[in-house]
Amino acid sequence: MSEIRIRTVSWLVRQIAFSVDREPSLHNVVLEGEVFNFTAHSSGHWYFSLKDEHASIRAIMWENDNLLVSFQPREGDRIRVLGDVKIYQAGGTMQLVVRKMAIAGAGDLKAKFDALYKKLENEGLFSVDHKKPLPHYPMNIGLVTGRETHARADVLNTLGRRWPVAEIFEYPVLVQGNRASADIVQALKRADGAGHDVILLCRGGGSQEDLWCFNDELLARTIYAMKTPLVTGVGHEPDWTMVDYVADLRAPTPTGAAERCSPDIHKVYEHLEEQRHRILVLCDDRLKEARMQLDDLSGRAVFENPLEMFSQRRLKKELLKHRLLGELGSLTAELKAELSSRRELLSMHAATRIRESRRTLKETEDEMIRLLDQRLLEEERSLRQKAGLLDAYSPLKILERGYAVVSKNDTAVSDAEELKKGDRITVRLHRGSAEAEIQSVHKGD
Amino acid sequence: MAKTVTFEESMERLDEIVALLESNEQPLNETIALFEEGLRLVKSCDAQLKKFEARAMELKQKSEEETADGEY
Repeated sequence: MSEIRIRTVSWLVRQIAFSVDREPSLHNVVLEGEVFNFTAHSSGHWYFSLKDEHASIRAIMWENDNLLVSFQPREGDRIRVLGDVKIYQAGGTMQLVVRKMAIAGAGDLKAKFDALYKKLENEGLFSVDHKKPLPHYPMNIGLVTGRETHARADVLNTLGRRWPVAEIFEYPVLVQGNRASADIVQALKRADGAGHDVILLCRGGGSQEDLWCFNDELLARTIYAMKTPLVTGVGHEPDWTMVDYVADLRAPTPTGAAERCSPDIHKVYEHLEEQRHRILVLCDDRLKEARMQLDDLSGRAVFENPLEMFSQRRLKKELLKHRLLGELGSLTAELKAELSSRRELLSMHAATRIRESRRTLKETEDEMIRLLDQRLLEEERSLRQKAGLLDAYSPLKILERGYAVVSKNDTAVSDAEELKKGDRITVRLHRGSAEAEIQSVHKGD
Repeated sequence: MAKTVTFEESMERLDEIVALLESNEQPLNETIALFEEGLRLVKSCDAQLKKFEARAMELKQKSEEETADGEY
C-alpha cells in the first residue's frame, strides 16, 4: 500500500491538459453541431454548447475571433466550426475553443436555391403580371398546412376572429421532410380544383433545412399553374422560400397570411354603415339642390306677382299709344302745312283740285288712323296673349274664381284711400268689365 | 353555375353607386333610383353578413360537439 502515490487534483488536471494538447486529432477540429445555451457575454466573448443526437460539448469563442463572424448564432442553429480542444484547469472542464464559424451546409443549399431561383425567374414564374388579385371578401378558403400544427391554429384563430363568415376547407399535408413537396403539390392541385375563393399555404418557423421542401421546383411550377389566388405564410419574417416568390401574395407568417387574405368583419360592417350614411347625405343634398332650383324659379316676378306684370304691360301700351298719336300728329301737321302751301300755290286753280287734295288728305289721315288702330290691335292681341300665358300660370285664374280688379283712371286700385264718393271706377271681371260709381268708402282693412 | 350576385359583387356595386352619387352627374330621377339601389344593397349585404355569421357560428358549434363526442 505504501507504493501508492497520492496525487494532487492539479497534477491530474495538468496531466489531462498535457495529453489533450499533445493529441493532434484534437487540434484544428472541424465539426458540425446544433447551438444551445448561447451567451454573448459583456466581455465580448461567446459562450455556448454544441450538440448532436448523442453528445454535447462546451465551447467558447473569444471576442477577437467572433468579430469576424458575419452572424450571431441562435438557439437551434446548425453551425460548422473550426477549433481546438482545451482543458480549463481551474474548473477541470473540457471545452472547444472555436476560431472560425459558419452556418452548416449554407453554402450548398444557398447555391441550389440561387440556381433554381435564377431558372424560374428567367422563365417568368415570379412575374408581377402573372399575380392574381385576391378577393376582398373570400367566402370559401382552402387551407393547406400541417395537421394539428401551430401554423394551422394561428390561421384558424385569425380567420375566426377577423372573418368568421368564411367557410374553411382544410388540406392537411406534410410540411417537412423529403416527401413533403409531393404531398403539398397534390393538396394544392385538389384545392385549386375545388373552387375556393383563395388558398392559403402555411407552415410555422423552422431552420432552413426544415423549410427546404418549400423550395421544390415542381411545387413552384404547380403554384404558377394554379387558377385560384394563393397566399403563402411560410416560416418567419426573414424566411423566403421559392413558394413565396411564385405565390400571388407572400405573408411573413401564417397569421400574416390569414390577415392578408381576409377583411376585418367589424370594418366591413363599419364600411356598410358609412356607405349607407353617405348615400343618405348625398341624396338629401341632391334633393335640397333641386328644391332650391325650384324655389328660385317660382320666386320670379311672373309667378310671384302677375298682376303687377300685367299693369306694367298696360303702362307700356299707353306709352306706345301716346307715341304713335304724337307721330301721327306731327305727320298730319306736316301734311297740313304742305297743303296750305299748296293751297296758296293753287289758290288760283280750280276748286276740284282743292277737293281732290282734301280727299287725298282725308285718305291719308284715314290710313294713318287705320294703321294706328291696327297697331294698337296687334299690341292688344299680343298683350292678351301674354296675359293669357300669365293666366295659364295661374293668378289670373283668381278672376275666374269671381275676384275682380278695380281700377280708377286705368290704374289698379288696391287701397280704399285712393277712392272717394262719386269716383267712377272700372271693375274688371273674368269676362268683360263694368263701370261703377263709388257710393261710400270704408278706409282701413 | 347559376348567375347569382356574390357578396363581393354586391359590395363592389355599392361602392360604385356611392362614387356615382358623389360625382352628382345624373339627373334627379336616376339619382333617386341609385339611392334606392344603394340602400337596398346596404341592407342585403348586412343581412348576408349576419346570415353568414350565424351559419359560421352554427358550424363551429357543431364541429365542437362532434369533437367532444370523439367523432372527429
